[in-house]
Amino acid sequence: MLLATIEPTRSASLGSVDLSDARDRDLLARLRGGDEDAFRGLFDRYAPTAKALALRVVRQAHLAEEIVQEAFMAVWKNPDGYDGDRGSVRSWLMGTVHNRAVDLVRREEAHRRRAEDAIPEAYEEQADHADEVVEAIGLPEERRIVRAALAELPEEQRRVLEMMYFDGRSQTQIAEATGLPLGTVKSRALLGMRRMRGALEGIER
Amino acid sequence: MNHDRIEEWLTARALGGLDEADGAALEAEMATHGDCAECRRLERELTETAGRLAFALDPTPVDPGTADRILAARAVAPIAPVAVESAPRGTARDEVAERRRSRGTYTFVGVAAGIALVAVVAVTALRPGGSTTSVTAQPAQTIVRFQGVAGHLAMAYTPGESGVIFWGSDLPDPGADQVYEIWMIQRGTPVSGGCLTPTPGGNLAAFVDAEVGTTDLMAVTVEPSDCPSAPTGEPVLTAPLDVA
Repeated sequence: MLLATIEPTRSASLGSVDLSDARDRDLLARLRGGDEDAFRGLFDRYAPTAKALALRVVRQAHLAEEIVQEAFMAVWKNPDGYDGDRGSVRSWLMGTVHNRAVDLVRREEAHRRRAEDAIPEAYEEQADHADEVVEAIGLPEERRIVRAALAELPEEQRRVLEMMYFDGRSQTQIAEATGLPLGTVKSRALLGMRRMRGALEGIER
Repeated sequence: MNHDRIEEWLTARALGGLDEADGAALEAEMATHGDCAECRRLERELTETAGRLAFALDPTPVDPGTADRILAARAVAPIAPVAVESAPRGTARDEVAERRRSRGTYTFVGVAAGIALVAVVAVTALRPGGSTTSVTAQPAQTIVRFQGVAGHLAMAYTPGESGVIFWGSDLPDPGADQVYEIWMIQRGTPVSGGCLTPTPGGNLAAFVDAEVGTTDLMAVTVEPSDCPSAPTGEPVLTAPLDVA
């Protein structure tokens, strides 16, 4: 499942994260010169996570595959789309995938609703495959940090973040689904993300 | 200046959950802030944090051929001079990808370098007013030019192999909710090769994962955007093939 209860080790992790991004930026710089090996390096490193994200949002494997392909196609064709002043390469990549996935969900909302019945089976199947690859390309330190930060959130804040980010729901949709006032949804998202920023970026709140 | 409200909106936007009305309010508010360092900092941090949430998920295997298809797609990019004058490269490709998503009848992923080479030669052959309908660029590769009333269209393929690349220019807008559909006429029976939409400038570049096989005539009709399985209109472009 999504969360694992692991204690965060922020100070150690930040160093590895920085090194990781430096490596990604180097790959992207080479990619601008048409270096196919650099593209494959970036793809191998992040495409499985990108697909997991897309799959979680759109809930259909073939759509998730296409989203990943389109997103990385955009990277390959226009690596200058990345602005180093606006964050890490990995967050940019995941943001690209997430935007495409959410856009698709919004366009095909009715379709997604129909597909929801098939989710448990699809996830069981994917989870089996994930077990095989998680150790090989799993970016385990990054996963451990993010999962630990999420696990430390109050349940009500974590739930709102998950519904918004992983389920692709708008704040209004979350309010409707949970029966919470819209203002409560917004404040929980705000507070949850403040905590996440504090945990992931070392920003004290 | 109080940024709490902006932070709330940026938070929702970073998570993909910003409601439309709030999005408009955010844009309006941001416009009043000008070059706002605090706004940029918030946006950067929130975008960064949201992006990292993805790593809470276990990775999922990707189709092993995906990277190759992406790299091949870039290999075809140089053929696009007829397709990039008035629209970003890949517009036609995006259109095809969109249709593929909804229909699943054909794929558009790019082409191998060999076909790209053919296409470069073919672009040279695609000139208004010419009379040649078929040019063999290399011993195993064939370029065919369509003729008719609707702009310029050509295709390149290797006989016996799957994959046809189409490119065109000056193609009229097929109309609202209409597309160009390519047909391979095989012994009098039309087989759909997929539907394509040119850029607003009338250009087109696309790869169709189909085999010409025993096709003796290629045809293009204007069809409803749901891409019917049988032609409903008269051909606007045709190209006889020498399959002997």
